[in-house]
Amino acid sequence: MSHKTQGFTVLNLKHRSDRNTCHQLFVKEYSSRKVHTKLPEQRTLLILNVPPYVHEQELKFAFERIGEVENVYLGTDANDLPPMDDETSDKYVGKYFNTKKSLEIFKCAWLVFKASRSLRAALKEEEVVLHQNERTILVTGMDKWMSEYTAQLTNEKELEVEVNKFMNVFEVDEMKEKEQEKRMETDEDGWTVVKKSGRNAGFQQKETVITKIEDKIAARKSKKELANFYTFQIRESKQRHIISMRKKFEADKRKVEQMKKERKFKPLGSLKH
Amino acid sequence: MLNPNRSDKPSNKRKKEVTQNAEKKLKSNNYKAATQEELNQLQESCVDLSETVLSLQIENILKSFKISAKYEHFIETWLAGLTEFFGSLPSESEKKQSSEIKWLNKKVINPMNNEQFNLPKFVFQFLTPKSIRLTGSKLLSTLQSDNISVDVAVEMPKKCFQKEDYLNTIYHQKKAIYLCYLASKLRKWDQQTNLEFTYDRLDALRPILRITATSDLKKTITCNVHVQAEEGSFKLSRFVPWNSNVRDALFDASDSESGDIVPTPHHNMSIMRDLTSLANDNFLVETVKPVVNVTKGISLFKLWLKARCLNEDFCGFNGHIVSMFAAYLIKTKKLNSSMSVFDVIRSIFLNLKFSKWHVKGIAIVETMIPIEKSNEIFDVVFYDSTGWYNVCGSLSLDIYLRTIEESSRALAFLDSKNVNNFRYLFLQDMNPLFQFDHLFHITETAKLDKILSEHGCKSDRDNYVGQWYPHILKLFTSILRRGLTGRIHSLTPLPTKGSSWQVTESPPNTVKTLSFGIKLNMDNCLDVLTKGPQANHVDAESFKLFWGSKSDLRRFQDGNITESCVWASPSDNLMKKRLITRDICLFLMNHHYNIKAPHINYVAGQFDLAYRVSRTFANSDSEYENSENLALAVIRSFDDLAKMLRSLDVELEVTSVLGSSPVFRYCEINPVLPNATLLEKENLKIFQSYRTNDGVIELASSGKWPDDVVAINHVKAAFCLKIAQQLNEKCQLKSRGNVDTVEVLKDGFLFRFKLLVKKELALMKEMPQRKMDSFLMEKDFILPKLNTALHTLYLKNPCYGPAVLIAKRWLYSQLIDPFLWPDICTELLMAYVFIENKSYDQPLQPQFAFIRFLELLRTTDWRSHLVILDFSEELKDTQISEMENNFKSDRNSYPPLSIITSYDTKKNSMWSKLAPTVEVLTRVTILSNHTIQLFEENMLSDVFRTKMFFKASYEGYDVLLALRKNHLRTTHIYDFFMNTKKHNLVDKTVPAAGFNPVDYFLRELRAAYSDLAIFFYNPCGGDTIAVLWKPNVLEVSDFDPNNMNGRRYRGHQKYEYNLPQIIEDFQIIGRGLVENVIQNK
Repeated sequence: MSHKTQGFTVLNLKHRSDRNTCHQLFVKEYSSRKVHTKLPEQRTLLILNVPPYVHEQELKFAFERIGEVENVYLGTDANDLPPMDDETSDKYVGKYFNTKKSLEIFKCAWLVFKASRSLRAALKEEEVVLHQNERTILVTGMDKWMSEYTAQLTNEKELEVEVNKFMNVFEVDEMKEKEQEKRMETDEDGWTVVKKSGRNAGFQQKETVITKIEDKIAARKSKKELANFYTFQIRESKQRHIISMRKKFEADKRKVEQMKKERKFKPLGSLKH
Repeated sequence: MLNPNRSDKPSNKRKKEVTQNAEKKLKSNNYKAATQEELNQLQESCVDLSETVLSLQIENILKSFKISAKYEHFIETWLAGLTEFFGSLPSESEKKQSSEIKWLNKKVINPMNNEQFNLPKFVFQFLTPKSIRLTGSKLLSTLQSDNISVDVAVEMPKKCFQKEDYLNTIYHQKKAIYLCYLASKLRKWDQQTNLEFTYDRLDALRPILRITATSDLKKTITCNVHVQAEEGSFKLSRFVPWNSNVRDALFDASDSESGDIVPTPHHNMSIMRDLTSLANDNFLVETVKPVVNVTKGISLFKLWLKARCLNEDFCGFNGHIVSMFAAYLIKTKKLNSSMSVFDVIRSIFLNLKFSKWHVKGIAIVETMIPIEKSNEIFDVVFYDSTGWYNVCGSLSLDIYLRTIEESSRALAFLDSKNVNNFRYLFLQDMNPLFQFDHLFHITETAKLDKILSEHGCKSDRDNYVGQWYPHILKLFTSILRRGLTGRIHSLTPLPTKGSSWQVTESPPNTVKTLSFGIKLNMDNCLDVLTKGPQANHVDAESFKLFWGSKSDLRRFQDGNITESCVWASPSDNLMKKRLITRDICLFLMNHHYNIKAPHINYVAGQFDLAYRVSRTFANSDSEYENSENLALAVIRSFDDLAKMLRSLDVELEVTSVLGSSPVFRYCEINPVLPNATLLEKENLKIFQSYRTNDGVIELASSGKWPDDVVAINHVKAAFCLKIAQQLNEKCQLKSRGNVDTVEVLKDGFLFRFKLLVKKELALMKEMPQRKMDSFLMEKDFILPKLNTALHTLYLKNPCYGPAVLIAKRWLYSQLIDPFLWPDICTELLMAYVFIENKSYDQPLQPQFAFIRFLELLRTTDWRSHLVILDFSEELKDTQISEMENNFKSDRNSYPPLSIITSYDTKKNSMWSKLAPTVEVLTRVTILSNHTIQLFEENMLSDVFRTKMFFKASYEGYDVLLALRKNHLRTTHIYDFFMNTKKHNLVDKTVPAAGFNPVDYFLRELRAAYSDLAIFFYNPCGGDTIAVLWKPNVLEVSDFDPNNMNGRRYRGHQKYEYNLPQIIEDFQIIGRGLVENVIQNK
């Protein structure tokens, strides 16, 4: 029943030998105009509809039968490509500060074979399995939850070690950065760089910050000024009063109109008889 | 004042600011010179906006009352026909003995129920009616279009009556037979489709004929025919209140002549009403009808009464009283023709508020009867335009007092100038369910007849002419009012519904039941003691008699020795104390009338079961009886811990320690029992506890936090470790530091504190990829503040906590768990019921607070309503209206259920952002409607079936996942459906803290399949997860690389959802937990 749509072929994913139903993976050779360092052409298989409980390990197991697998990457959808360079982000991440969450949803995967002939073989397959010796390799349910629970329990000593290790690295990094900054204070053309800290610190150019500062200045000014002292001031304040009354009147009219529209009142309808 | 002719002078500076054309136009409009007229208008509207809006609303209501010309015309011609028909009936030629009227009871059955009477003989002769005239609300044009029923009075000529007909109800008998005669003739008239008898305001002495007119109009038009004696048939002075016109002989033949002659004021007033009817109608037409606004005001006031169920029934505040009162106000110059409807209704409320008719009656003209004397005889006194008839003769004191109370509330509304208050006044249906704190219903099985004959006195029987309802009301209220003095605000008899029956049938037997609503007095209702007089005082004897064996001599600390009754021990919990009033009522009913508890359906504490500790775990100690009490122990322990935390020696001082779990505001439904322990295994500390109580720690502010989120996380971890270490060493408390929390064991409770750093939140907000995390962290910051506010609310009214508990339990048992409907939403909506619902007083019984919560859910249009919770009145009016405007203009950026509190004014309803969805909200609305109906049914039935309210139906779901019982958490909460087998399975080992397989399972299911299905579960002991497919699961689609999740190929290039495998998935994901899967076809 192999058939193709938009280059994808259907591949059954059997999780047990004794069940008729199974999920269908939709696979195709990964190709893209942009070169991706981690997804070499002709060796990468794009897999859609990977079930929630299937992850890197399980996919590797399933396709290992066809040919040796080099790597598996998961993503929420076909556009969620794995990052090109993973070296930088991993710098600080230890056991306790890993913000990566495992994808317990339907997802897609990029599976990189060692050899391109494995890929061609894979595209001809109709079925891959997730069981071995009549037993499924999936770790789900109670077993999974229990191991998850114990894994998240904190070992205080380990945590302390990790924190200390990080702080050491971080402090060194920070020192370096500061030095760098000092050097950068005036650039080659003689312009002064305004930064968050330092002698010439600037403020964030955000709307909220700016309005706050402006309000402050206005408040400071109004304290100094004498209100309603000169005739023109009195005149102006009266005028302002009229304007505010007009505005309020307009707003009230609108309110009444809206209430009318909403027909908030259905006196007799709301009562039970 | 400004010179209106002064030219426009916008300052140059401002002109510059204006850039856009449209803006310019708007501004120049605002800046143009004001004319004197406009100024006046502006100033007026500033003051009177609320009034203008109110009058606009009033106008709208009145418009909807108005009977259209088509109907008016029809009624006119139809009535002319009826008048002609009656007028053409020929008189009978001779008088007949009452027992020999052949036609009676053949075609038309006499509506009078004369079983208990021993009627003397009298003669009857039908004579052509003296006159037929319009009366009642149609006469004054105060009729409302929802229920068009016209009152017509038919006058019997003087000659129909003999000299002594005023005695022993002969007058009423004759009227009834006359009515029957009219009915029998009307049967052949072609302008009617239905003839029924009914009692006028349930008064069994006053049957009326209800004719349904033949018409092809949409609404049915009915006409009530009242028969009255012609004016002057009897001397009015015969019916003064102290005269006797009913003799004992009427009830007991053997008793003739021997009985005392007792005054029969109520009976007398019944006849007096007929005799003065014409004069009063003329008077009303003269005084009230010409003043159109007053008649409108009367209509409005009647609507207000109706919404509060005050106008119904034998002893209600009926429309006649209202019209008379309006006429009285006109006569006393309180109302006049220049007043607007708003002024009229306000004046009516105002004058009613300060009225004291029960102390000193009022009269429209100089009365023939001394008012002081009348006040001794009647509860409420208000004499009519003739000075003979007490319009309020049958009005019960309780209803009168409640009307006054409600009037003063209404007045406060009108004066508060808040436009939105209007709906509370006229538009809200105030079912008795929502007005009272306790309700009780004396069922038929109590045999009220027997009680009447045993305990009622003859004078009352004669006075009420054997009518059971007012008589028994008098018996019961006198006792209850005495027994409950001080504890209650008001005791109100609830209206009973009258019925009508075909003229060819005999009157149905009335079901003799009685219901009362009680409003508790907040200050005294929890008193455990009813203190009587000093032992040597003269009243001591009567006190003893009244309370019987309950009364005991007690010596108090101040040295007084008094008689007193003890209802509970001072150390009892609130749940028990709230029901003291119930105990007193039941005791009194039993003690005085021998009505046992099973005959009384006392609705007050039934739902308290919902938050009780399961019997298996319940300690005999009253402190451990329910979740509310258990919370207290947790809070105490938490406060101790907070003190310790603040005194720790950490680099940055711990400045605040606040709770955030529901338990800290008495809203935790699962009982928190002190049974947590710590297990140390292979360098790991494993806490074991059913519940973790969450709190937050904030440290003193410092500028030294790094500018990097990851770095802050590490520093936080270091702080947590330090705090935990210090707690271990200094305070000898078992604790563990985690990445961002500290867990501590104290007094058998497990606490978990989250460390909050403001800088982290600020940094996180700038990271778009972590929007969700920063949203959740923001909640962590605000929740403790809300917690404090809600805790304060509980301290002000301790009924809040249990009410939330009941509501949560109810939602849970409808399989709506906190994922679908966040707990905090329940808590905030309940707070809204307590703080903002101004139609009622604050509820004092959790059960009724819960019912009002349901009512809120049921009646509110969530699409157009924004819940604004202003704790401690911090918000300004402008802020509120700004929020409302934003909400209206940008509705779609708010969640379906929108709640804003004074702590998160700019957050577009953060608490309900993720849930509930529209579907769940609709479902809950429907469920609350059903529950209210169920409650109403139960309230008026013989037994209250509490279980029904907390029973989930598993019907209608697509897939059911049955769970293995041994992996389910033991719930300590009361189980409504306890079976004995389960009882033995109770696992006494405490599970690892935070490890609940069902939670894990649901989390994974929802993460993976939320697009396809909704998962329902009852977290209070549910053993099945119900799955409902979303409507889109049957969709078939073409291949789309972005939309292939969970699909399979079904041929012809089409793809469908792989439902069989997805159901299989449920089993895979829940391996070990799912016992079996049931599919509903």
